[in-house]
Amino acid sequence: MNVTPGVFELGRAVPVGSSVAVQVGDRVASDTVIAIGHLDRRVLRLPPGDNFELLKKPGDPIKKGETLAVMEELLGLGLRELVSPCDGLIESVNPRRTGIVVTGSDREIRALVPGLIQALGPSEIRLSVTGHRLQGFFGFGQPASGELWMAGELYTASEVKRRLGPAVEGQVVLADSFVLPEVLPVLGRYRAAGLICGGLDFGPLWDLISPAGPFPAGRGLPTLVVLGGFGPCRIGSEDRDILGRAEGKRVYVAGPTAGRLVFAGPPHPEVVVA
Amino acid sequence: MAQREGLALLVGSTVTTVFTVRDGQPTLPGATVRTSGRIPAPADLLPALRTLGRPEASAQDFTSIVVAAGTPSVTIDGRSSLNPQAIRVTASALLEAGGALAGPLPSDTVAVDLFIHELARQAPDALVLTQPIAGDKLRLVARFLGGKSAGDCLHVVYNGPAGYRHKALENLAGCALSSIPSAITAGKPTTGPTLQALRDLVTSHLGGRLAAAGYAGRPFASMGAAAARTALRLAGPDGPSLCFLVVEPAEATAFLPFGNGVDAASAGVVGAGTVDLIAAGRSRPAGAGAEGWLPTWTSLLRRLPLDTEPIDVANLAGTGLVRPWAAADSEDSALVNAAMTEEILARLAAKWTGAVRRETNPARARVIVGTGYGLSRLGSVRLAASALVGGLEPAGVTVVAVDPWGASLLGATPEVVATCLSPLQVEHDWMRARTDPWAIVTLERGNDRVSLRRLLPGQVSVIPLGAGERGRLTIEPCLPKLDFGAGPGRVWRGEVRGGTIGLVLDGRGRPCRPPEDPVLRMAKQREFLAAFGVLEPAHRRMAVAGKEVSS
Repeated sequence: MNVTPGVFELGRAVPVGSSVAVQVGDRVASDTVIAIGHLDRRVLRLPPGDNFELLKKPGDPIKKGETLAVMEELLGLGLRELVSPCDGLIESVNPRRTGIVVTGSDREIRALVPGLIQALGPSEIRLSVTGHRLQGFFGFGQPASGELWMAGELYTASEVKRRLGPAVEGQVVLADSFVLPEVLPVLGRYRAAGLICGGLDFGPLWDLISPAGPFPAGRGLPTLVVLGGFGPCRIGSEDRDILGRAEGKRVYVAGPTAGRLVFAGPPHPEVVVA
Repeated sequence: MAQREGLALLVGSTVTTVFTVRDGQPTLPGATVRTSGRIPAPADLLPALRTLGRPEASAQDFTSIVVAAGTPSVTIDGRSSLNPQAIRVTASALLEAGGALAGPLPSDTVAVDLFIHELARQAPDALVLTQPIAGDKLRLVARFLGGKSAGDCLHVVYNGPAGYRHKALENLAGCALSSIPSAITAGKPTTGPTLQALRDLVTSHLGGRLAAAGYAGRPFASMGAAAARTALRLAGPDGPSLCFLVVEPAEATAFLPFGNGVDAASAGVVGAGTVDLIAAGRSRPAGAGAEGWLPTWTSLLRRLPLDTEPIDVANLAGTGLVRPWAAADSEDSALVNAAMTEEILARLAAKWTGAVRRETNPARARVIVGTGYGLSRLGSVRLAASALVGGLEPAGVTVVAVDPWGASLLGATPEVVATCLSPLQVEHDWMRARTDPWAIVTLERGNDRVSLRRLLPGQVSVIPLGAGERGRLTIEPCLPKLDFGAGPGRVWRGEVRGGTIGLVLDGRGRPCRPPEDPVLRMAKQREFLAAFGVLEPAHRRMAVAGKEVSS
């Protein structure tokens, strides 16, 4: 696998229009806030016709799971609720009342990796980072960071429940070798930040992340970085040494492009040990 | 066409190839480097230049450049329920000009918010409107473009009916609006203005990218334009119908000369090809079908002569997608990559009539020429030819040529690999034992050498005819309904050229439905690949008195 040691540049995407909280030359830690803004913007489709009641108006703040509209079903015999998928506010309801645009609430965007601010762009902040950058074979998901949990051999979802459990919240799990893709939704339920593994089977993974699957493009799953390949592969010895020295420390993991599947980079999925 | 002496550069989407040009022709083999998603700078080509013995060469030595990477991505808008012809014509013109399809847009009136959301997600370099937009949609587009700066401006090309203006878009800094005559006039397609506008867009975009990469002032063409030109050159003015295919690891584009122009369409397994633009469900992101982008693993397995599990096929297919620049490192891997190519081509052929026109279809072309790294990485022209035949399932007498290096895009003539014989629209019932022959095939070569073969249903065999040889072929159908291109029951006569393989007598039927029985299916796939010289013929062995005897 491709390893870049020393000093390298890392780009952190920030939403267009967000307020940047750092300047060029600033030294930042993993949890330093570099910008404040929102990336989430979702369109909820309303059914055609007027057989629903909107409970919110543009500008109203909303919470995840809060009811936004109530719809009649079965000729008025039943009711269906449209609930908010995220915290935020109602940006607009289109004039034909066929869709609601929901924006996520502003949140703090952190550096996730210690470094020196090199450049500020409208949609990206570039950092100079000292450490090791491991280029993954395949991966997806948002940039995330967390303490590295060396899980050794971790094959099945039941092993995740038995050996890791809720304590894995916010951590990046390292599985030495082959992992069954069923592990990912369980790690997602425990709110793990990411999974680094040697290999996994592409067939069942595709069932999860295909456009028709339950987690399209890996949305809703922890960030995944596969270092070895598809099938029963192990992490290479050089990668294993670098990650072994980082046990218990914060590492950075990121898919190639958040929200989209990229099979062949660049960009590539990556793990950064700073 | 390349100049007389110098170097030629072919920048594919996954691999870049450098050729030495002698007497105006690229010489083989070329030398390759990875493209890595952008046009490689001259310094990046040093390993390839060293291989060619020209390490001192500079950008000025490149006399011809053909580029697929870095072409502008274009989103096409229009309601397929109202004016599918405009979308078809625009999509074909886009490929012929050399642009890349960013994706389809949901154009239902109930989904204007989704429209903007999807437009922002696709982030195209240009938006082509095949119909006027107004009302909420226009206001939302104007608001979206109003947030863009002049440096990040979107080219919006209005290509719909005359008499409409989009005043809300005219004075926006983030929008460069232009209007061109509609691609459909009085119900008839007139591609000229659309093609010219898209060519101008691609040329200016690519010119900037090439200049930024260090090739300022060098003659260049987009891959699409070069492929369309090559298709016209190879077909000739009165030649047989020809299909020129550019096959990349996850996408294939076909160019078919028709009339004075070229029909083009693309299909892929990752994201959308232009054949998906008219398909149902286009309002879903990237036009995903019910099963997602990729074929099912069992359908891939049905194309393979491997006794393996679908999960292993999935891993090999996934590896082929993640590392498209890598040549196959094992026989299994090459066969899976070939099966993936077949799936892409089958998708292209199946959706062609709906997405382009009924009169042309890659599967009905008399000459099929394939190029691109999707074929090159298979490692053998024989396997590449078998993938072309397996994917398109041509019927009649079809010449198959493969150019693994892409030199035909720079003026070279591709190598004929095989001539495939199969009757039109006759399915084979695998449950029946060997039946009467479908046809008697006679090949007369010089020196009174005559080969006589039966084309048996369910079997694939070969009559060798070497490269450069010519022969007179006669196909006599044994049943009145069988048609080899001369009409039902009529004798087909013509001259054929030899190639690496020769004549392949394909008795699997059209459409080819592999046997349900897995053992028979594997045996038949092996027989098909053995006919192409990819695999050794399977010998049935019997143990007789402690000895193994081949039968």
